[in-house]
Amino acid sequence: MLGYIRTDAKELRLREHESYRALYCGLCRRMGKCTGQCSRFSLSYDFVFLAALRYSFGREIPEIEKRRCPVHPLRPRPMAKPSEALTYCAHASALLTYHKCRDDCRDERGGRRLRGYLARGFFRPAYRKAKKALPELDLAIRESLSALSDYENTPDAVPSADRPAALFGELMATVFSYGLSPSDARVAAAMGRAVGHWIYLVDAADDLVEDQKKGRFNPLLLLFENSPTSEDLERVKLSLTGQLMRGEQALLLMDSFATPEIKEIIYNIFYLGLPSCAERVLEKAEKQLSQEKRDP
Amino acid sequence: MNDPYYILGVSRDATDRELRAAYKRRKKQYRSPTLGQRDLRDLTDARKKQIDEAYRQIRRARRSEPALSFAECVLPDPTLGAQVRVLLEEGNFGEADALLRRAPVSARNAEWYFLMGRVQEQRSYFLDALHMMDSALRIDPGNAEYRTARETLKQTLEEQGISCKRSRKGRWSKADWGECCCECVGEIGCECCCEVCDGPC
Repeated sequence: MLGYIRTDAKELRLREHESYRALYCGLCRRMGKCTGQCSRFSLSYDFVFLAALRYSFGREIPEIEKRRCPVHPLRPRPMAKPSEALTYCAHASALLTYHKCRDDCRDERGGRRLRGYLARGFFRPAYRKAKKALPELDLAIRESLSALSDYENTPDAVPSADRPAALFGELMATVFSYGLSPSDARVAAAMGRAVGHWIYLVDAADDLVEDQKKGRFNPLLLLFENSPTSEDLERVKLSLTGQLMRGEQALLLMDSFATPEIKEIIYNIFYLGLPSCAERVLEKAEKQLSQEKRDP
Repeated sequence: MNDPYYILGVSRDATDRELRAAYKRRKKQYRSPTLGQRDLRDLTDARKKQIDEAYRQIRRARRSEPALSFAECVLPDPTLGAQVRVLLEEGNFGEADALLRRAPVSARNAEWYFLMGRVQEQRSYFLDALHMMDSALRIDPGNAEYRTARETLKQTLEEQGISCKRSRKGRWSKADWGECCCECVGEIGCECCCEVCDGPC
């Protein structure tokens, strides 16, 4: 579920790219301080998007300083200084990573299940620290993932890909809006709902052909009766656009952004990064489907 | 294969417009042979005849297809469809969804799929909505209401979906707000002055 929320780097100005990297490095450093050095292995650009949003909603301005890091020891790099937004993202990342590992232990089989057990043990110390800082968020994530798991394990009378995606969207809505004022929480939750729904469908499309081969659960396979076609992928593409349209309504309601660079980063991710990622995933699925048809 | 849809390369739920475009496209592929290909003229003519016949067959079938009887078109419990439509108008989508799900599997005909699609559309479940509407059209391809609803949803997602450009001035503008006269967005050195770019690009 990670790795889909990226910028289209070619369209970023250099100062925006530097700001983006500074948030990434700042988040990594913050994760090391708040949730332990092991948690830094779960760092991803997806949480940089969340950090950019939280800076804007929290009316905080990221301050950049040059620090060295263990991975790049030679030259100091621009890093965002510690802030509430980064602290929150560090804790949220630890909680979501641990719960994802827990789900893999329960739902997956074979190599993935073993990896889930190992990863769960590896990220447990980080989880404990994050749970101490945000116990209500941990409970909300646990309940949402449990509802999602119940849905996935219970056959639905009317097969649907959007119902589990909406459950995941609700989880993201909680993560995006936790701790904000009521008016900001509404906008953040709407954005989270749309982005979460989008992520779930893109992840399902990414694993479509592999899940078909290995007989794993995939909501799109259920909807398309285990034989997806190009027309089905066209429908997925349109529905992904629809979800981004919902998110755009929330984006346009955001009154202010932390800095002009943060605004450009968020717009770049939303208008360029996400659609191009969806296109890439669907093209790959289309290619794999046609290869399957040629050599079954 | 003798399936006329396969010959024309369209899906069964293609609109009349798409069908005509596909027919023209296929005919164009087999236009009069140029130098060096005259020895295949008979095969080319046979293929052109096949395409004409496939197109005629589909048009004939669509025009003269016996309309599903009223009983087949509407839900077996005629009040269910009316109830769902009322709930849709009231904005009570959760209740409409639950009502449709309670209907037995034998009741899932074209109207059931169509109303399910409308309900999912209102809940922003676009993938399910498109899937349901296509299923309704597969059962009842001649139904104008279903076709219009599906085309409207598809058009909204295709044309008004987000796609943005950033101009040199750093402003984000949606692609559907109008194209710049010279497609200069993002290019340096353009001296065009137009309404979309609001001055020099």
